[in-house]
Amino acid sequence: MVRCLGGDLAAFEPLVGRYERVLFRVALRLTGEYEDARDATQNAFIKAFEQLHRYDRKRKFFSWIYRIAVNECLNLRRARRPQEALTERLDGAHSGPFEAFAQAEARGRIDRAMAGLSFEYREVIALRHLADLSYEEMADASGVPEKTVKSRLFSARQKLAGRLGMRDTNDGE
Amino acid sequence: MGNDERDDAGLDRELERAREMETELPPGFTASVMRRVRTAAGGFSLLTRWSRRSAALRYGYTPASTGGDTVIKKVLIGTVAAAAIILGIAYWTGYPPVPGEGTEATVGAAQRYQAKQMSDKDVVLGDVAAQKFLQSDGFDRLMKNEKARAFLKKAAKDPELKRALTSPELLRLLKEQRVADLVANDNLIALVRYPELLTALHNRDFANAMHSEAFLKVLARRDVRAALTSRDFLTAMKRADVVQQFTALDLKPQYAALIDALNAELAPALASVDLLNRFHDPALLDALSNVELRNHLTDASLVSWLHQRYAAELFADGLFVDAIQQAEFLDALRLDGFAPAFNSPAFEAAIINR
Repeated sequence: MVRCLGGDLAAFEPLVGRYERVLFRVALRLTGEYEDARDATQNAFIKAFEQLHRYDRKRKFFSWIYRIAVNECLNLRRARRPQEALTERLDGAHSGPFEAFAQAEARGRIDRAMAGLSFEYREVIALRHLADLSYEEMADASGVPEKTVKSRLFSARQKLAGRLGMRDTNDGE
Repeated sequence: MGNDERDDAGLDRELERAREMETELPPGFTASVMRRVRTAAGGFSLLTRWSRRSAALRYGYTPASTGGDTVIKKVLIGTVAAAAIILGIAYWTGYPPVPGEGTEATVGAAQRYQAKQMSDKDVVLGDVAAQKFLQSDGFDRLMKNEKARAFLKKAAKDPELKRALTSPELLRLLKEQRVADLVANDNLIALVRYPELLTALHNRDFANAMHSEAFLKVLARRDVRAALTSRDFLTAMKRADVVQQFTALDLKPQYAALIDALNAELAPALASVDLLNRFHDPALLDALSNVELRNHLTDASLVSWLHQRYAAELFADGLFVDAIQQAEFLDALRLDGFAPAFNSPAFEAAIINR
């Protein structure tokens, strides 16, 4: 990062390689759209690069760039379809012979269940289960105390299990 | 309590499975980010560069080869001083003499745009083609076109754009009338923004399938694109009984076209997630619906050129897209001497100081 600030642009590439997958996965859960997630991830890297001189090295790099990515996700979602709920988009409303294949494979049970959760709940689940962050790292990334992260994750998991039908019979859909 | 633990374990399993099936980023994502990073870096103001440099030094950054900023400063001061001495000697002694055609004429041509800024030192002496270009009517018209100048001004400051614009391959191809006619076409501009599509067009079957309106229409559907990225779906479509069932459904023409395409072994080209995700863009579909353009895109040499990195970089630049649609800009690019002239200080001065 310091080399990058010193003018060595190639030094930024390993940072992209290291964080692109995890940021994209989280962005995909937050936006529910492949294109939005990809654009949010790319924009986050560009903004991080442009603002690198403002980055506080006391913070973890991931936490910093993650906040940028979250803002990008929110901006893209707002710009794209402000009136449409995430649930509707992930469920889809197409009819035709391809629908079954599309929904079964590309939009699995978890997708549909998570789509019904609030942004904060989707965020904690994505950070914990897709980005593999510790509670401390999650707190730093999402800007709330560790205690809040734990309780939020607990509630999010409960709600998700409920939506997956695990609290009742085997399938609640 | 027991139920809760069972629920937790079940949920963890579901989440783990979802994680394993996670969609991946498109190939070339890192390279694409790095391209944008380089472009962003080229546009940094002096203040931003200074801020970044300061931050780096604050963190203990020391350029390995020179031993630090002080050395850089000394080298810069030394270079400026040496240049001043050489220029002073050249001015007073008139040495080295000017070879070839008169510099005066070149300066005269450039002076039409910024008389006060030009001097004989601004012209690369001895480059006859560049001088001729700078004296041409084509250059005159180019300088009078605002859109052309806006892009040239940007390209003059951006080494990558500059390299792309003066690429011998680009300039050679533009001399061909069919390419010149095509290059300013809106449809081509929309197409060049999709490098994955250009790659797929290398596949003759894919290129042929692009001639079907119905096929393009069906590809624009979100559920179809999702299905095409599904391995299960593609496997199923290889089974005769499944295809038979689809056929028996008396499908709409677009579905029939898709199934024909899949049966023609197009699945690998179609199953690229990144490619399929592009098909929601009306501009792309509009471009692909142009029969004449699609015919051009089956021309291997043209597709190969369009697939060059620099072509995508140029067409991704809004100012270039504006400029290339100007006859004055296109004409100038087709003139001999454009590249050496564009790399000369005279040209840069003409653009910036006008």
